Amino acid sequence: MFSRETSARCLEACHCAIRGSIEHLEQLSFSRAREELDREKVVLQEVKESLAASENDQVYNELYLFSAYVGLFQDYCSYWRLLSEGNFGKSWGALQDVQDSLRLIYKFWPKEECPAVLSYIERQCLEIEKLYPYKVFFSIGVEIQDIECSLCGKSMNSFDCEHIAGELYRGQLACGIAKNLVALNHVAVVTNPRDKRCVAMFEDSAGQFTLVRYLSGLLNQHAMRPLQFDRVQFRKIEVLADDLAAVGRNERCPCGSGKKFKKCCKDQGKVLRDHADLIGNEITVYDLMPS
Amino acid sequence: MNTWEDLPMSAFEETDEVRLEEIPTQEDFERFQETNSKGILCVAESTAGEGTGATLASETYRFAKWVRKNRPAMVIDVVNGIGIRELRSGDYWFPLVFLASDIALPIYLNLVANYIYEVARGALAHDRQNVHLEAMYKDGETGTTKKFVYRGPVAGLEASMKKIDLNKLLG
Repeated sequence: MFSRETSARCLEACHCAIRGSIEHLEQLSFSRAREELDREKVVLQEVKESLAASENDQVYNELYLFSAYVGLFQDYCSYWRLLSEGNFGKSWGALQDVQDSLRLIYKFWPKEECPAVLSYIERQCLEIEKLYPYKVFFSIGVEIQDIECSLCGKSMNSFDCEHIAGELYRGQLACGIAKNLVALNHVAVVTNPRDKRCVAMFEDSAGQFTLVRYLSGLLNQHAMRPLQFDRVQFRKIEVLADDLAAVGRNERCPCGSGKKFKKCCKDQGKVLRDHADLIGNEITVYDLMPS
Repeated sequence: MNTWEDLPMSAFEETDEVRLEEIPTQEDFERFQETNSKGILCVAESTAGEGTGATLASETYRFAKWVRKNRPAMVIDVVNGIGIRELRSGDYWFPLVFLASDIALPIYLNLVANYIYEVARGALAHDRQNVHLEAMYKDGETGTTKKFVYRGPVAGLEASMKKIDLNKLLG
């Protein structure tokens, strides 16, 4: 029988594996971080397989939730690994995976009961998104013949299928599988897409990833741990215009006045430029997940 | 030169809209009224452009099943089209609905708000929940057919009701 105590022990084992994996993640030991989580997923699967057929749906749903909780940190580790490796385009997709996992967990786990680390990651993801160049997204409009239920195989667009997409049934999530595309109606450019992964692609070496690359550099130089990234602050700063930036203070002014640069255009050639400050904090996993 | 960031977002997306208008009698709607139908009927609509026929909005069956499960006393049915209109925007696209005399528009709007609250329970703090809906009903006072159109945030559904003369609306 899956008692309340068994459930609490399962959850504590998840917390423990997540704490361990984040410790490895903070050292940029991505594979060891992932191993901790993979092991816990196997344990959860074994618990699920050992359940008696008489167990109620709630037990299966709880185990699904624990598995999703561990899965969120698998996504989180993948994100930081991709960032560290310089796979900036792919890292955007991994960042969306983290947020999709959060949505799934919040749906079935009241926010006020969730560990503080989840709301921390939610806020962190939002800040990290600001470093990416994606502000608008592509959204397709299609006509499809039917949507098949992932659980019963019947048409989800009928009352024959009793499942509602996005709900849990005995530890399984009901999803709709689109069948037979009839027509592509349009492609729209939107700011609020269902899937933020549909973006214009840039090479990882592109200038659009300057801020992301900077964060990646901080990470690889161990100047900032993954959990440490707190927020980005954008502001304008006064800098010398590009054509004046290379001129030494005591060189002749390029304006042709014959004066030294410092006594001529140095103070007049300033322009306002965008500037971003990446701000960290001293938080550790033990502040967010007490043992 | 303008960058993506400089452009107003309205250049990409439709702005919010709340509209209540009297419309000419429609055959399908009249038939629904004449059969003394109760509750809500979700119907397929033809899309703009190269249409292949009437299709259902993507949220139709999920909403209808939710109503049947959570409000069993309420009657809701669906008239199928040739397929489903699936949009990958983050908005909720509801079908055109016909409301029978036992379902006042505010009841329907309240139902939609409750539904979205439930299905979007997992939404993150920065997720935007926009709704697109259309409802047709018969004005009890004038006997005319009216169409209510709403496009905007779910939080604005209730507020939008205040913009409309409720007495007129309810007949």
